[in-house]
Amino acid sequence: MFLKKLVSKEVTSTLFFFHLGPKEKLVVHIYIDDLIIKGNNGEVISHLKITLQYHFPITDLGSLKYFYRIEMVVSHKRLFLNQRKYVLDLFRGAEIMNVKLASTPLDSKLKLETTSECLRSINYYQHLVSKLIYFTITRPDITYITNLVS
Amino acid sequence: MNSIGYGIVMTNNGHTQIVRFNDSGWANNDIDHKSTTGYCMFVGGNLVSWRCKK
Repeated sequence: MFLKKLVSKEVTSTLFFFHLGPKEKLVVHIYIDDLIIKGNNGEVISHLKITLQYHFPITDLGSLKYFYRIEMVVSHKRLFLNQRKYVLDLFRGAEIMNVKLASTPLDSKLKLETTSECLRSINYYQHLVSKLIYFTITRPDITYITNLVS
Repeated sequence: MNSIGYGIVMTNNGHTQIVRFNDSGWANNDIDHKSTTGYCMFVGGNLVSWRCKK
């Protein structure tokens, strides 16, 4: 079997590295029932996909576009990661669609105090903060403010 | 300014050099005197990991 012939160097239980030659690499990432196959030999990738399709009912979704709620676009040999849909869903869920957008989310001279009124629903606040923490995956510019509110 | 479409760009710069920038503030919070630390790490000129933690 093709899969057995490949010698894998397991990194985690979901990420598999295959060293096929001095410069040839194949990476297979498994997430529940989704697979991401990456490598620099197109023939090996096609062969792997055919082998998998022979043994399992698999749908080939083509090149990677959306995974872990992150959009991926390849252009001019560059990979662009973006969470536009994720943040729009977050806004919709929090019912804050009609807010003013700011280029700098935090005033550098801002002083927070701890004496004001407590939040009515801490769970809801924590839920929104958890979404913001995930949003920092593609937005290092909001890392500081996210840390501040979390 | 609309920043919703902002994201991360990964470019093949022909190397896998690891560069890390670090900073921290010891007990820099006026209210609870907690410290803050932050870093950002590049692999091959691409930003792959960053953190800000009080």
